[in-house]
Amino acid sequence: MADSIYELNGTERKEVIREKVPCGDAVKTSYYSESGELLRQDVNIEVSEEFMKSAGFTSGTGFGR
Amino acid sequence: MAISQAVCNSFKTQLLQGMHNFTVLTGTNTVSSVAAATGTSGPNGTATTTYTGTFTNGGSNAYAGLVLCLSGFGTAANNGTFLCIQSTTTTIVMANPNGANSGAEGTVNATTDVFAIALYTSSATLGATTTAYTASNEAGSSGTYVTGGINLGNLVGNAMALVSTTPVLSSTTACCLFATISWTSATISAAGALIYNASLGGQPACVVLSFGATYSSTNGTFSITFPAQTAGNAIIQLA
Repeated sequence: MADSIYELNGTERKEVIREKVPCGDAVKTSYYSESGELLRQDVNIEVSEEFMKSAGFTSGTGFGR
Repeated sequence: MAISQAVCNSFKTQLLQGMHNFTVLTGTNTVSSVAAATGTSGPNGTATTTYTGTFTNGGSNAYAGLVLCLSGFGTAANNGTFLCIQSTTTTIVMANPNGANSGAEGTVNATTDVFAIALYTSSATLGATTTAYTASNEAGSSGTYVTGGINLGNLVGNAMALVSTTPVLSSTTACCLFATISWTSATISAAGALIYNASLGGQPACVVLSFGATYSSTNGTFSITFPAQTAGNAIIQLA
């Protein structure tokens, strides 16, 4: 399920999907032609504090959080 | 085959051994003159050399405690890697017991390491016990992503190096930061990444990132952004 869908120039379609991943968020932006063909897809991995949590560190270790 | 998120065990040990340096000198750092060393030489000596010039971000002893590399000076004794004792915006006092007021002036750099990042497919096995960069199951070259990007400072590609920011304190936590890295015009499928030190022999591993699944760019941009340089957020932090 896309988080947002935009119409570009009345023909192309832009679809943005954001998903939680172990290290934070993954944002996938896809561009489709009028016929539905995938023209281009960008991926941005946004590393967040989720990284440290899932890396198994706690405040007691003195490292991480 | 799995990619498990981790700060690598060997990296934690190496931090305590002083093997990794995230320091970056910013601003202008130029030397206009060198004063001959003063102080006691020999064992337990306190002799230092004062280099005068422009150090825009060196005020209030900002460089004190950093190891700086002085190179290109006409007098050999003025060159070398020394601990900075004091700094202002116009002087740095270095633990160089043999500096001399002679010869052409050189340059000042931090002994910063180059950190790099490599992307891996879901076939890779990476985790806390990973000790070094490996080419096994690395994502293939595409666009500006180049497999095996950096080794001992020699760039195979030019888009693998992470731009580090000098660690800072956020409250009582020391925090690192890397700038966003992007590979353009790339068709890449990756399920994880490894950050490693490309300046050291063996390219020791630092951090494993897991994406949880395979993410693919298609003729597009594959990028990774890193969290703020603040406690509780930074990618590498010592609380």
